[in-house]
Amino acid sequence: MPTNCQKNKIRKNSKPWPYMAVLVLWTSAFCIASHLTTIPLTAQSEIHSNSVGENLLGENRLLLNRWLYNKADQYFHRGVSGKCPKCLNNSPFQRIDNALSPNKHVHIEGPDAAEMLPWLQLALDMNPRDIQTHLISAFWLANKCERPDLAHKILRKAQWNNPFCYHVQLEIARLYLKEKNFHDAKRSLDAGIAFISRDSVPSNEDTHLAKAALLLYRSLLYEQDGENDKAISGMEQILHIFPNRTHLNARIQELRKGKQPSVLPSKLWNAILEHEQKSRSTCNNPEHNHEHKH
Amino acid sequence: MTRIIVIAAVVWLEMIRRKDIYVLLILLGGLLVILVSLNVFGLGGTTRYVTDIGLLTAWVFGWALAISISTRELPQEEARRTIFPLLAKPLTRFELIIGKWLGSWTMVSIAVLLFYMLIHAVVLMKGGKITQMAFLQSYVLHCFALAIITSIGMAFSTRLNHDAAASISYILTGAAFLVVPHIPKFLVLETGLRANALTIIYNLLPHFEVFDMRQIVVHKYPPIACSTMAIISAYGLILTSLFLLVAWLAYRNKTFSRMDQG
Repeated sequence: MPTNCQKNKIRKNSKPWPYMAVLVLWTSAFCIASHLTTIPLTAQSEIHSNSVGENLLGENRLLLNRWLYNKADQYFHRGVSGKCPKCLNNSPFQRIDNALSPNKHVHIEGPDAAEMLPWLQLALDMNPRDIQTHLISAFWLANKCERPDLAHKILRKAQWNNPFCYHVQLEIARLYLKEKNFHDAKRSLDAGIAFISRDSVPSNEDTHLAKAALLLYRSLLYEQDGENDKAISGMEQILHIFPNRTHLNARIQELRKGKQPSVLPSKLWNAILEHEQKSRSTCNNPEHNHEHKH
Repeated sequence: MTRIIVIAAVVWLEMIRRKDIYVLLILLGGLLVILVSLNVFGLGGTTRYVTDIGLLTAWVFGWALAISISTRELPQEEARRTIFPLLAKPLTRFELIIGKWLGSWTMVSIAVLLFYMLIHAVVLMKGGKITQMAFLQSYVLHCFALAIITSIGMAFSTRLNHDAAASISYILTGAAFLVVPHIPKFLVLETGLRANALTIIYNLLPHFEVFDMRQIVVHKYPPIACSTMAIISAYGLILTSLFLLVAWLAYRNKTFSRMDQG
C-alpha cells in the first residue's frame, strides 16, 4: 500500500500542465511551420513532381536511378556486372573471386525475365523522366512477360512524364501494330512525327533512326490504306535521311506505277518488329565478353 | 577451455539483455515487409530482389553488430573496474581475449542466422525458391567474415576505448569491403609507385569479397566447389588467428591503473 507521502508524490506528478505545455508547443510549432513552408500545398501545379524520390533526395536520385538501372542490367546478365580487369588475374584473391562471382555471359530468359523489373520500377520511382528505363520496362513487359496491358500502362506514365517524347510514341505505335490496332498506331505515329519535326529536337543519329522508323511504319500504314502518294512521300523522306536505304527505291517505283509491291506492308512491318525485338533482347554492351550461353 | 566458455557465456547473457539483436531483427522484418508489398508494375511473382536486398541488409547489420559488440567488451570491463576481479581469478589474458571474441562471434553468428532464416521464410512465403546448399554455404562464409571482423574489433579494443576502437574498425573493414575489391580496376590505370602502393594495399588488407556469396544465391547458381570453400575457410581462419594474436600481444603486458576513468 502506498503511504500518504507517496500518494501525494503521484498526485503531484500527474498534474496535467506538462501535457498541456507539450500540446501548446506542438500546435504553435505546427502553425508556424505551415507559414514557413516554401511549397504552397494548395497550388498543385507548382509542384514539379509527385515522385517520392525526387522530393526526398533532390538531385541525388539521379545517381540512385543509374545504380538501380545498372542493377537491372546485372540481373539481365544473371549477376555478371562487367568485364573483369586482366592485370591481377593471377592473384589468388581474384581467382577465388572469379570462382565466387558469376562470370559466364548468360541472359535471363522465360519467367525469370520478370526478376529485373523491380529494379526498373525502383529506378523509375527515383527518376520518372527517365525515358530509356520506361521504354525498356515496357519492352520487357510486352515481349518477355507477355503483358502488353501493363506495357501500355507504363507507356502512358512515360507519356505523362515526358509529353513531347517521340521515343514514347514510337514504342506505343509498335505495341499497337503488334495488337493490330491500326487506328491508334497511326495516331501515335503521327504524334511522334510531329514531335520529332519540332525545331528544338537536336539532329543526331538517334533522332534520325527514330524518325526513319516512325516514317517507315506510317508509310506502310498509308500503303495498306491505299494512300500511295502519302506512302511515297514518307519513304522519300527516309531516303533523304538515309540515302543508302536503296531498297526503298524499288518499293517507291512500284507504288508510283500503281502496282502492289511483292512484300505486303503488314508482312514487312511484322518482319521489322520481329527483327527489332530480337536485336533489343540481345546485349550490345561492348564491355561484355560475348560468349553467350542462352 | 571451460574458462573461455564461461567468459563467452557472460557475453551471451549481456547480449540477450541488451536487445540490440531484437531491434535489428525487427528492422529487417519491417524492410522485408515493405519489399514484399512493393507492387512491381502490377506483375507479382518476383522474389530475387527481396533475397538480394535482404542479404545485403543482413551483411550490413551483421557488420555493425560485430564491431559494436567486439569493441565494447574489453573497454567496458576496464571502465566498470570489473577487469581487476576478473584478472585476479585463475584466468590468463589470452583466455580472456579468446572468451570475449568467442562470445561476440557466436552471438553475431546467431543473430545473422536469424536474419537468414527470416529472409528465407519471407522468400518462401512469396513463392520464391532459394538453392539450399548455396544458401548454407553463403551463411558459413558469412560467419567466417564475421569472425575476422570481431577479431579486428577485439584487437583495436585492447589499446583504445570503445568509441575509438569502433571508429577505426568501421573505417578499416568498410574500406576492405568497398575499396579493396575495386583495386584491380584502378591498377589498370596506374603505373610505377602508385601501382606498387595499390598492390601492397590490395594484398595487405582483408578480402571480405571472397566471403560474399550473395550473387550465387540470388541468381540461383549451383553451390561452389568444396576445394574453393576450404581455401576461403582456411583464409578466414588464418586472418582471425592473426588478429587475435595481435590482440593478445597488445593486451598481455597492458597495465591498468585504478585511477583511470576508463
